[in-house]
Amino acid sequence: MFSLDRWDVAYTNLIKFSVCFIILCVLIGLFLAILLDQKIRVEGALRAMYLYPMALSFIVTGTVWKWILNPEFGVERIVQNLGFESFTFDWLVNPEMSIYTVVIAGIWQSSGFVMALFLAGLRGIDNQIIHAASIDGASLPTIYWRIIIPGLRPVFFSVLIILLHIAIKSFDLIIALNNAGPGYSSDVPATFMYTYSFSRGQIAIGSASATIMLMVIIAIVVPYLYSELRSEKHA
Amino acid sequence: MKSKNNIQRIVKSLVLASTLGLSSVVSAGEVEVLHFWTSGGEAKSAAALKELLEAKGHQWRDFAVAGGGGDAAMTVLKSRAVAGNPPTAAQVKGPSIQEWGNEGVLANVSAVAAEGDWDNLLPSVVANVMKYEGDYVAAPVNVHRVNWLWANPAVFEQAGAALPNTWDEFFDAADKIKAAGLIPFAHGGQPWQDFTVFESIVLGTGGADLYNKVFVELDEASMKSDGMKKSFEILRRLNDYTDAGSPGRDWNVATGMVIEGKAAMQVMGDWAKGEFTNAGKMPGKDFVCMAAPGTADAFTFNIDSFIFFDQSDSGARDAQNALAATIMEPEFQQVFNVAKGSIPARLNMPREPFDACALTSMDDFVKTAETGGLVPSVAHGMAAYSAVAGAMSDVVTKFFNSDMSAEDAVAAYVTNVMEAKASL
Amino acid sequence: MVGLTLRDVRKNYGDVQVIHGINLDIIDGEFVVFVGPSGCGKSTLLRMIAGLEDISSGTVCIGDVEMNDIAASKRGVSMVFQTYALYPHMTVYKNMAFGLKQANTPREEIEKRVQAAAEILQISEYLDRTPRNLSGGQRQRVAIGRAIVRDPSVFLFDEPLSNLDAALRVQTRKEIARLHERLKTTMIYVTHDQVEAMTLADKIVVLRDGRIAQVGSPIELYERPQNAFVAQFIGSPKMNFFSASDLTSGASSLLNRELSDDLQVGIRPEHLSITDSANAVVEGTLELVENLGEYALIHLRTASNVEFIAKAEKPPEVPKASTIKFGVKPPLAHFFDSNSGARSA
Repeated sequence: MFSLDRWDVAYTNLIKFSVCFIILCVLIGLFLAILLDQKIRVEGALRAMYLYPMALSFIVTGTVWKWILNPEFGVERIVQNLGFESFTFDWLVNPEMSIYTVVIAGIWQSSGFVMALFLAGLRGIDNQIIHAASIDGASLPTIYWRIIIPGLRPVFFSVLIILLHIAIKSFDLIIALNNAGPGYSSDVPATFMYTYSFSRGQIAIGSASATIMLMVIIAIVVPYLYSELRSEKHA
Repeated sequence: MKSKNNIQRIVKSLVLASTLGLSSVVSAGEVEVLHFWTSGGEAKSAAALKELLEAKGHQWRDFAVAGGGGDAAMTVLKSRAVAGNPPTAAQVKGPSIQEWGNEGVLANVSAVAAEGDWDNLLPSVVANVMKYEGDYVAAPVNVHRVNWLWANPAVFEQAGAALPNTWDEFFDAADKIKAAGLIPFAHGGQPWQDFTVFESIVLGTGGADLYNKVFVELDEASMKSDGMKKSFEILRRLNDYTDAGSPGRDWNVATGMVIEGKAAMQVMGDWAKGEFTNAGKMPGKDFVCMAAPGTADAFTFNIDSFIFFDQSDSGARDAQNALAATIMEPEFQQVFNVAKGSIPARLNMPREPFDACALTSMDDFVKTAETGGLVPSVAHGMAAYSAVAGAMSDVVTKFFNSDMSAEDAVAAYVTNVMEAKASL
Repeated sequence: MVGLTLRDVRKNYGDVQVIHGINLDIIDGEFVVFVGPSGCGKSTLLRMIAGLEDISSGTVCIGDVEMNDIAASKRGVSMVFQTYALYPHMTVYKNMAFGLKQANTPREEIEKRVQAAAEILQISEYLDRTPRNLSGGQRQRVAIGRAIVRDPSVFLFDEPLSNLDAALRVQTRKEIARLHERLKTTMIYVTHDQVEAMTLADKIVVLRDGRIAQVGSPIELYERPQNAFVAQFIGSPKMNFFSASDLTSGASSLLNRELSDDLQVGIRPEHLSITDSANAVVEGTLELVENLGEYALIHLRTASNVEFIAKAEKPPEVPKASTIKFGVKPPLAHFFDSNSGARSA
């Protein structure tokens, strides 16, 4: 299996996708959560808006973004119609960039949820700690950076686990968005596994890839869980 | 007294009934048919088969599994077969029939075939696909021709281009169409569509001879031949004549572009015809169907068929035989194929119900069956095992979607195919 | 010398005023306790001094400097919170060093000050632990340590003992008193517990509904409460209140005071003593005796159906429902206006 170019593509895509997806989702989710935490007036409405994508299935998200990103009638065409003739945004059909369109759609879908988790975490932080820090002379950014965000550690933990499993099991999103294409340029191990096991009847390669996915998840999650749980037992 | 009379009457009627039962040629049974004809037109075709069978007094238990272009159905079928409870018949085609034969679970319907004279009604290439170790185990429902070029004559006229018969003519015409500001080649950039185009290119460049060696016999030397390299180069050139939106596009959307006159040509199987006729277009006038460039003497077939599983119950066996016979009857072949746009698998059918494209197809089918130009479509799982075909498709689609050189493509093709072949 | 001056300090939340013009002078080195029932505005006032709440109007000066527009961190105050408010992900050392680091104090200086504070509070051995590995009392000491290292001119304590259990509360209270003795820094301490107020304070500020009810030393508040509210708030059990009709006919002459319905008489339970008919100011039927060994609380009810409590060294040796007579030394009786609640001479 390791000699297959397609497997190469699949797992490098998974790495690219997971890293970009998780990092950007966390950053955007945290940023939105901090914004909403500033006690702004329409928070309820905004929170609902950001959370709304989560109510959609990945299939719907994938299909919607397939249209938005399509160079013939999506963003590229709109901007060109606005007069920027040379504007190109063809990531969806560009084999080099297609995996990043999956990242975009995935972030759109999941960052609202991440925001909700972070917002809950922010609300759970004792106000007195923030007061203590401001008496200690910390500026607002410092308070967020040194006090609040480290205090969100358990939330980060949940967020990372949730996003990681979304990333590794991502399948429906890719199928709906560009069907692992163009060619197989946005293949990930999950679509690879499906193709080999069910379309081509090569159960051996299919199960090998599934086993590798399992091992990757174990390799990442188990040490993480272990360290988290162990440090809690110290109390 | 009265009760005794009653008993006698019952006994009499029982005797009568059993006598009648013995005297009838077939007893009524039930067939359970696994298929994936779930979309509108296809479901109608399945219903036609059901009606014909029920007219013969058998019961039809529908077992339709939608999704994945048959992948889901195959998964269900495998689990049913492994559980020792396969359906009576299942929609399986191409080399997969041999795979099922190897499992030793198929029923021999040679008796029905002999009675129906299948050997003479089917071209031998087709008959061979339906046989396992010399016995019929499957019945074909239709024949699709894959190497079609669909063209919009209005676009050609507008660009001052001529319909192409070779790939050189194709590119001449394409240049003119492109200069006229239209899309020369409507294409849906999905792996199976890339592969569909590629098999027609190989057939057009190297003829049936190279096609068979590369796709059916998996001959390594032929895979490395100039013909293959040239085929890859043609595929690369096609890239310049498609539009930016082509990757990921569904085939029927690409057909729609030809119908609307946005694009000039599409290489696609004869199922595309339904799109034209549904849009109210007339063959020969509003659209042209012709063999893909350089493949007028060849015919890549894609045959849907049903395989039959061993049945222990004699009633079910009778019903199964009836199903096999019904499938090959002219009545079903005609109704089904007119609806689906394909042509009947059996020869010598009445021509009247079919349109011009289908008639061309039928003529070429007979002709190529004799000349040896009749070849199985590799992109549609008729030529090679799915693992091997998948390996080929991977290289083709990768090549089409990157700037890989034709030499590298040939090398990767040989490696991939040989590995997949070895893994069988 | 750093004292505090509050001039007509007010706080509004929208249309609701919660602090109604507080005037207060705190001299350098004083231990001032803000005490009052919950909702009286004591914590709000403290946070306004700390700079955590805006001052709607009036001025707060620390030393001679008006602090209204100065950030919390620049006011030279340190604060200890009810929930300790330690940074959960930092070690004790880092918790204590955080404020100094924000002020760009040199590393050696930080080290020196943290070690010194840790020594005072006897937490040197916990410096590498995180707060969640400490007990409640230890955490509160770390919070105090964090306040000490900043070497503030004013310490602010916001109900620092409420989250501790009773035994620990007494002990930590003692430590805070000792700390004040040692540092001699101005301290402002908020509590709802009058025992803490009485034991710790140089000066108690009793707050009620956003206004000062009385300011004074603990003993002043105990001996000469300026109104019925303070009288009842300070002291445990609470002061008994009687109107003229609840007392005996001889009460007026015994207390040397003209009694009327406009006047309420307040007598602390500990000042009631069992006596004979001639000296009885008030009498009641015995309802319940709580014997605490050291002393006994006698719950009674007058004929006019008013409950009162007397504190005696020993429980009375009479059966329940019998009548007991009590007298009081005239100077220990307090008189308040029935309507305004103000002390009546």
